[in-house]
Amino acid sequence: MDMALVSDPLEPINRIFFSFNDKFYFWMLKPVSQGYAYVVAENVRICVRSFLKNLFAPVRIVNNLLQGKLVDTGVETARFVINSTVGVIGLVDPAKNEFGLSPKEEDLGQTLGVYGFGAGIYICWPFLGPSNVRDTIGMIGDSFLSPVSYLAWSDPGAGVAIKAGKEVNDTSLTLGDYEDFKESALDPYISLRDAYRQYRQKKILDVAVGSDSQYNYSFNIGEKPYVQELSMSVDSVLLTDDCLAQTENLVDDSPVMAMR
Amino acid sequence: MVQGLFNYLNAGGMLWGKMKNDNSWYLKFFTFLILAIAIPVMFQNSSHATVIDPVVFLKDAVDEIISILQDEKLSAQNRRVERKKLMVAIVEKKFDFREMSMRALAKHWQERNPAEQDRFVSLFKTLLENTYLAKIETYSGEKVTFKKAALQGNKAIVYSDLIRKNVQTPVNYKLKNIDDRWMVYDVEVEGVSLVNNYRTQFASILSKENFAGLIARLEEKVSKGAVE
Repeated sequence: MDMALVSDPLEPINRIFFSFNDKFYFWMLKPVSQGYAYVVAENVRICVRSFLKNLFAPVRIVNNLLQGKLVDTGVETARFVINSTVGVIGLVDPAKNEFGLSPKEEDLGQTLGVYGFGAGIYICWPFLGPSNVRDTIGMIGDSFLSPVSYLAWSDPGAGVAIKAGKEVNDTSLTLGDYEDFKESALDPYISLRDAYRQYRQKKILDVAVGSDSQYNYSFNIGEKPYVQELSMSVDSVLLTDDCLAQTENLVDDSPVMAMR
Repeated sequence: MVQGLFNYLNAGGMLWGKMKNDNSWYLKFFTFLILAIAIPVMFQNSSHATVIDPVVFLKDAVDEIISILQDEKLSAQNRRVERKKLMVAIVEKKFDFREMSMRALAKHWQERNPAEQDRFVSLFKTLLENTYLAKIETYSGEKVTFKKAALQGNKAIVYSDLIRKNVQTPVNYKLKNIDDRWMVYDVEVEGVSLVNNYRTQFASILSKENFAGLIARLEEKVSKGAVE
């Protein structure tokens, strides 16, 4: 039953690319990112990441619009305007920190999913990692909205340099995550394939996160913890609409439970 | 209180019985009827009061783990093993590894005998502890925010965020209420369910190898983790 969740006729080739990416990470990306992280301060690297993320705002704005999410389209547009100006060309994120506008991640792969396109077969691309037919088409479509692509068309060298720089910068901030992932998996290839399927599915359905908060407990790990208490009674625990889809999913997701 | 009610009704019954001896059976019946309704209602109320909010339940666990991580005496290199044991003890109270194993093995669970099931639960538990507790120990400056909970029947989801280097990662805990205690049976990070992910891996391995092969792989993985 679980085997049918992902169509993977290319598994032998995908496994080759998976181990290629694995080697690429350990032999190239990781040492380079470690060296870069040693030289460049973490705050600066976070700024670089924000800057690059801000450049891709057109992708998110258009895809929110294509999915009919008018409020989120507005939020992403406002984020782009605020962060490009007050946020000094996107280096910082005052839209989130000061105005409470969280990014609304949408891409063409998700838009196609919302329109009813199936994922198609699973593809593990060299360098780019896990994907599928739908998300690959989405990625190509989105590249028309990315300023980096336009730069790459006029100057391929600069385009590749930016892509590589982005990869190194992102990796420098998540060093150790891939190692942990491999550590936890019995079959890392299958684990990544399934994680990608679940991740994209939840992104398309927009059920990964609940919307507004009823609780606001905060903990700072490694620092002195503080606890904020907003509303605490059991009465405040209500089933909200956006959770419902997921709770239903949780009730019947295991056939084993029937025998209990 | 129940006793008081009983006495009161009995007294009433006796009084009534003095007046109309023939009808005393009716009053006894009535007394029992009231008790039959009253007892479950009263007990239901009291049990509702003791059900802990799942968010509070998880918050307590996080509190305990943070206090262990902050204990400078325990952070010494020679007391690492002791510290891990303390954290494992907390996790064991809050996570239902048997339920997780059942869900992760799905149909293959029923095909195993109790000894094999126990062996599997113990290995799966150790694998999860080795990988995730080791990760928690490397945390510094991360922030956990509990956002809200959704209840349905005896199940609940608690939504939280892990904020790390300015990046917010949604982490959802799925809990089940067993005898008025909440137990976590799945964790979703960025919408990826841990149990479902392992289920796919186990199913894939079991489609090529037998159960002993899966156990051998788990044993190998666990022994590697213990060395570090």
